[in-house]
Amino acid sequence: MQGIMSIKMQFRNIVGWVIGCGLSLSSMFAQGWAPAGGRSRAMGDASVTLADVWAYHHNPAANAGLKQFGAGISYENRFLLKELQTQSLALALPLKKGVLSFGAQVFGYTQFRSMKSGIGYSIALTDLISIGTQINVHQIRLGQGYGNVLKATGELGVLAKIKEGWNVGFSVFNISRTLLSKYQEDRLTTVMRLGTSYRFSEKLLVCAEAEKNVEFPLRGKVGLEYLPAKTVALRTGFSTNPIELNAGVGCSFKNLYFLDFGSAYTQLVGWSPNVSFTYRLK
Amino acid sequence: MRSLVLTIGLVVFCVASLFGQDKTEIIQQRIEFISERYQSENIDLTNIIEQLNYFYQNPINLNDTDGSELEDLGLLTTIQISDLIRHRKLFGKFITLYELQSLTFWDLETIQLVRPFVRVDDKLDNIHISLKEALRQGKFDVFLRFQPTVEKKAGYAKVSDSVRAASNNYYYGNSGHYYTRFRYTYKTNISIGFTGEKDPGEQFFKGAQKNGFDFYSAHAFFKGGKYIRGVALGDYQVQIGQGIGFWSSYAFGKTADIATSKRTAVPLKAYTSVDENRFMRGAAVDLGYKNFGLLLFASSKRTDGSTIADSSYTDLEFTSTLDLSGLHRTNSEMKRRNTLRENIAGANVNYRLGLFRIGASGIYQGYDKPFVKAEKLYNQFDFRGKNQLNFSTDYTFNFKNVCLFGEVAKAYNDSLSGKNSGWAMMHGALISLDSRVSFGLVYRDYQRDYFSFYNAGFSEGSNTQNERGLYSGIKMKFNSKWSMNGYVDLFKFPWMKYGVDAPSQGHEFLLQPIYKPNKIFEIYIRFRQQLRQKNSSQYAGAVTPIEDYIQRNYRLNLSYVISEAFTFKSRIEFLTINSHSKGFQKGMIMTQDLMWKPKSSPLDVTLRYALFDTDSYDTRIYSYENNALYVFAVPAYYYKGSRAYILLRYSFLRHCDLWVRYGYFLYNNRFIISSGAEQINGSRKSDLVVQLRISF
Repeated sequence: MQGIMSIKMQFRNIVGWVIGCGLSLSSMFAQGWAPAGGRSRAMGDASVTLADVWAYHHNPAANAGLKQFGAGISYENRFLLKELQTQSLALALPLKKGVLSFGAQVFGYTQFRSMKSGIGYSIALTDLISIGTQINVHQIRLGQGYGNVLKATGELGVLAKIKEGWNVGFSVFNISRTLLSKYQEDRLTTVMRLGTSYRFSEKLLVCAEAEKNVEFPLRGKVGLEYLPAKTVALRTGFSTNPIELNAGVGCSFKNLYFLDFGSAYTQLVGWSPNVSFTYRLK
Repeated sequence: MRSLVLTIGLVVFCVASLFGQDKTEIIQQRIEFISERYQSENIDLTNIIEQLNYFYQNPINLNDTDGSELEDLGLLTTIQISDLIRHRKLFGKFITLYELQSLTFWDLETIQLVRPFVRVDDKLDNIHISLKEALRQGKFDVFLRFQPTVEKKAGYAKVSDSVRAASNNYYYGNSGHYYTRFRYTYKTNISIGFTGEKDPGEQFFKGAQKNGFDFYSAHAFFKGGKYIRGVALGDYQVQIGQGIGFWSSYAFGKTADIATSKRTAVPLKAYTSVDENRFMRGAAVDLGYKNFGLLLFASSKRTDGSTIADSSYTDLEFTSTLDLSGLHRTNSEMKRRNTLRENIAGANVNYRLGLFRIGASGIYQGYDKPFVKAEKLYNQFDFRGKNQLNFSTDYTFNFKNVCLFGEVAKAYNDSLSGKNSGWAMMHGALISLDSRVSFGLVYRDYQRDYFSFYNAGFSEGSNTQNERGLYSGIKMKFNSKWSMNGYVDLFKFPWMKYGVDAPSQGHEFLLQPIYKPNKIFEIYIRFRQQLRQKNSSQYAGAVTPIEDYIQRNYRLNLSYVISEAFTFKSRIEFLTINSHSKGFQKGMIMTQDLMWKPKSSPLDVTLRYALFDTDSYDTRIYSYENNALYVFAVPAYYYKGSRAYILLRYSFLRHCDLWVRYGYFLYNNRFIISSGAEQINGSRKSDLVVQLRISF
């Protein structure tokens, strides 16, 4: 296990040039956690209250309101570097009571790969409040025979409605603070998000969120989604620590298929595009 | 520092109209709103005041306007204006002002804001002007202002003539600041005026200023004909497009109000201010035929600069630096006076179809001697030589809830510049996403070798040059009580700047929630963070590295209209600066304003008391101060001490107003203020303004 850690250090050095002057690449080193989907990315990942199938990766409770089966796949590339790619999957299956969900995520390349997959359940307790939980299994694998490690984390989320069109949400990733290695007490990271969204009209949704990763400074994030037509969405967002601008577009086809594209831009290292395809049963 | 904003004025303004307060007050408050946006010292908003004054007396007829007057007002966004015009096209003329409530992009606040300046009338305005009527209905305004320097400054010391003649540390004139202005106006159609100003330390009817005032300005201006839309003789202002190619006056920088990111050019205006450089002197005409417009202007005026004789050619002189301060107090300043002639000629042709507008311009600027500033690595792309040509094209396009605008310009410099030409462009969009939400986006790319003297393009730096950036802002109203403004701007300077020895980049963002539970009380907080890169002050070796310089501002502002007569305003502002070489520095200011303006009394009183405490000059905080009409003060508060002022306004004999204002800074543990000729021995710095206005 110590081998894994020292290789991880080396890996950090290798990609150090990417990071520039101490820029915190929170999702890259989040060790198992990253937001997913073109919609979230385009809105600055201020997505803790967004109630779509991608909620699996944002807030275990936010998909409690889904009435139909839905599934999505997404692909992300951080800073347009081939080593920093993420593929994600999310599925939501509404039951008689509550929603069962599945998700998976793969990040990295041959020399460093982290994988997560798991199952979640969410339920609306009343009209105003939903809760959800997940269990995910994480595997972190280093190349050249340095081995791998397999661990499980527990996630928790709450979504509450203040009034029509105004929600607040809260989620914790790795509430269990799972230990990855005894060496230097290395743990999978823990991320807490608290956010709100306000729907001005059918056409306009505005989100804001505070995200604290146990290892990085607090991030403030805002996102905006505007639908100039029923089938087209324009999105933009902004986040701090580091300063990031986001933008993207989404299209829906027959209200069944959704194609979303979004990208973040940071001044030092540039673009991080994300594209996702989502299917939702009518 | 050119950015920053505030919306308090807007709200205060609405409150004012609620209580049916008088004209001066409505306008003064409006001006406060605008001044807050500048956050810098010594700005001149004379034109804006006059415009508001005029529209107060002659409200815009909403059934007759083509939108350009509403733009002049400066209170409405383009989308709101196009909304109004579309509504009028669809539903016919307005019958009452209450109809404004049915417009999609007008909220109640907007309506209250513009109400004093608009009317609804089905009779169309008659623009025929007879000489008799012009004389009878015209308005005369006379201003006399005196601002003495209270404390003794080193530059006014009594020294012998020979000492003074051999030094640049002594002023020739007395320490008084004199200003006088006479102006005749008839509606906005005719203006004839004259202004004279003597700065402190300049002579009066003596020495270098034998003709009395150091600075004179005069103009004759006509506006409003069918084909001859405007004519200006003497001093005037020209504004074109988005301010990239040519804009002779000042314009807003970044503000918390996204609407100000779009410039609304007023092609021709009379010049009535006292900035000794930023105006045109000559003649101009604005012609129109149907949807076409043609602006032609020419200007020739002397400016100040240091002139050096070229050693290799005895008859050749060149100018190495321009002096734009307008001060002529010492030997060196007098020597620089009027050494250079600046000639400008330009034309702008534009076409307007509904809410679509496109224009193209060409401007020539030249000097009678070569202007060759000392070449440094950072300024090597600046203009050098005698002549420059600038071509630009600009557009504004309104479609439903979207307004697109922009300008592209190219400057061709004299061959002396080395680099012959550069591009500059900016493109922006203002979008009303909802009746309660507007969103703005501005992209700009100004090349390092694009150089123009008169510009006001949207920028982080002080010039429309060497900058690339993307600005995005939003304004949201959640309900009748809560609203929020915010913006973010990312920028890059692809080449070095003064004090920044490498290409640099940075960002700025602002967030401002506002709570206004009713019409008389408002509270807001504002957070702003700016990151810029500057030269490090601690380094080893020959190369100066740059470092991040992070500034954060925190502000709490409260305004409360206690009764018809009393207004109460408080502010606490805290500022921090962080950089590696200078460490952590902070500053704070706490101000309390009290205004007493009873309706029936001819006397108004405004009071301020403030305490400030800043670690350094770097952490200074700017604060708007009330002053006599047309006197603008947004001084910087720095070091440690107190500030107080009292402003009295007394109206008498129906036509006269007298303003008296006394204020002082009292510093702690500081026994010398300023340096050089401006040095005061003591810990107190006072200011006094006495102004008389006669209008009839």
